[in-house]
Amino acid sequence: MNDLQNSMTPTIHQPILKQNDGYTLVETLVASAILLGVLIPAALFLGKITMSQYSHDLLVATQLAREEMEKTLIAASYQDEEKLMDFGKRRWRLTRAIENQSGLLVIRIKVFKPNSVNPLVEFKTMRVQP
Amino acid sequence: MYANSCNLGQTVEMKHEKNFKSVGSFLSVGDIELWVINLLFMNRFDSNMPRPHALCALRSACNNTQGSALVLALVMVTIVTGMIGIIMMAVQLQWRFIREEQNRIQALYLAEAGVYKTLWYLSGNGGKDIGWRPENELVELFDDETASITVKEWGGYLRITSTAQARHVAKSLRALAGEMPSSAFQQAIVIGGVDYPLVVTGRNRIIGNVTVGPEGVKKGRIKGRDFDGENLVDGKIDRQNKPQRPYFNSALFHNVLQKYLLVLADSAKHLLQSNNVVLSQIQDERIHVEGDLHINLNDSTQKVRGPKRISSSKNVLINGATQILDNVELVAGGKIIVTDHAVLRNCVLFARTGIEVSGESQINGQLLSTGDIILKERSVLHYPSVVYCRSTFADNAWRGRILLQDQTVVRGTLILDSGQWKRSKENNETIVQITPNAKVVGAVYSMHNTEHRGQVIGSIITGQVFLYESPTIYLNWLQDAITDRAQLPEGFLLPIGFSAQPQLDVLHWEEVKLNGEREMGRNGDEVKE
Repeated sequence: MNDLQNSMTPTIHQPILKQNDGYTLVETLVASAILLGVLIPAALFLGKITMSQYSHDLLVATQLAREEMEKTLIAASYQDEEKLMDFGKRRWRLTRAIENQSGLLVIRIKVFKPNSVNPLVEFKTMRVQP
Repeated sequence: MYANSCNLGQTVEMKHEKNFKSVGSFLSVGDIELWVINLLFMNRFDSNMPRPHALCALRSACNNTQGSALVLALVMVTIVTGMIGIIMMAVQLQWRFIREEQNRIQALYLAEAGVYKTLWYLSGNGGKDIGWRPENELVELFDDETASITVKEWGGYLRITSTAQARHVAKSLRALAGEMPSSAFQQAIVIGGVDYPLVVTGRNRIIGNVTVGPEGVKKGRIKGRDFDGENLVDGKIDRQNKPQRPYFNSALFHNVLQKYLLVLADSAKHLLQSNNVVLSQIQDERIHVEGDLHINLNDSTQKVRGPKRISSSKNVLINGATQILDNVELVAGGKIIVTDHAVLRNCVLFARTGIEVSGESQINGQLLSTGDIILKERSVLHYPSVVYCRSTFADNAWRGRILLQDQTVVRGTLILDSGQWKRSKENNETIVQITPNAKVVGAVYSMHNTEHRGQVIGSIITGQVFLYESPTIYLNWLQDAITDRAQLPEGFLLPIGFSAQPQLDVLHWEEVKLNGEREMGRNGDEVKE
């Protein structure tokens, strides 16, 4: 016990790097194992959560926007539309806006998160009015 | 054995007798194992127990109270920081990949928008017309985005290259544009002349509307054979009093022919010196041969790929397992002969004195000539092929024929251009001839005669219908032919020139990599800018 106390309380006169008292190898290994055992899963979990929130949303929104754009172009359904869509664990808002510029149609597809004003993804292209 | 070597206290030995028995098989493995077992199962360390040398060293290390707490703490902090850094980098990288993909998709949509805005301009909007030929011209698309546009002729079609950028990602698309069929091509048959009725006989079938002279459609008899169908026409009959000549502006084709004639005139600097070369290994985009050129690869794995312009002052013979693919232009001062299962794809062939395709050859391309174009022996021209013959006046007669024989199939458009509509009664030197087993899926446009005995899935627009049954020439007679406008696939596009304000659409897309490297096109083939 005294040894431990000595090791925890460095002598004032000794420089810190030359201090002889410290943790034993076993104690240090155990502490390291515990630390790693907690940190690694925590870091992985944190990473997964972080990736889900940023990238997963972006990925899903990109795919939804692309799919909606392709559907619009194939079906030539050039009318404004807004719809809600459930995908994964989230509800998405998709808007299709068509602007006719003298026979040239500007098609904009936007994908929003719920309750968000700014779109997460926006794709736009043009077609000649049939 | 255990007690002899380890000298354990009696109390402890009794207390853990069971445990020792259960691990009895380990007792002979050595001092270290015994020592560890004792430590583990006795829950104590007996200082009197004899220790092996290595064990003593381990014990000594474990009891050593001298350590490096700060160093170890720093190592741990470094490891943890590194791990967090890696995770953050992974997140950042993934986010960047997705953003990159997003920009890539948007750049492609912008490039597409560039192509469609170009089609809009070429259709006569925005102060431009079908003659507009921009070269890397910036076209405004949306608020702050532009596309760089180039328009060039590719045979009878237009080739539009559009390059656009979304943030730092640039994409380039190349589109082949054709013209939507005008109202005349909604008919099954349009006969420009009004002097004779359209007479049908034998097993002739017409499905779709027809436009003919004031005498309409009648049935007739040739050599004792009557018309054996139910209806003369399965569609409406539009009688016209004045000759109707559907619009055709051949300026684009004339420009193309002129361009190839200039290629022949200006070919000296691209002259190929060697007589026997491996064509597929020549990197030059322009090659010229004085005299005849014979292309025979004899190996289906060898391919000549474009972009290439190969010209010959005389004839070009292509045969064997030759494959000529993707943006190859073949120009001949004499004839071009394609035979013996040759395959040509996305090519333009121009020959001054004629083109002959035979031997089950397969072509997806455009055949342009100022001489006869003959397709025979089960040759197939795939959509969107074009066969264009510009008839010439020589020896007091117009000459230029498109002949489809021997189960030939053409999916595309046949055009016989004689400059102006003519209706000479007995001249069969200027004619589109479709023999009984030949088939056209698309359109036939002949300013002069058309002899139709085969099958046309689409439209025929002609000055007059010509039929020869020895020894008689019948004008505006159809015998045993099938003309079916209803079966023409939707979305069929014509070459440019059949409307003053054409409605254009895209025939074919390909993605082009910008820095000159090859990239897979949308049709799965390599494409090169």
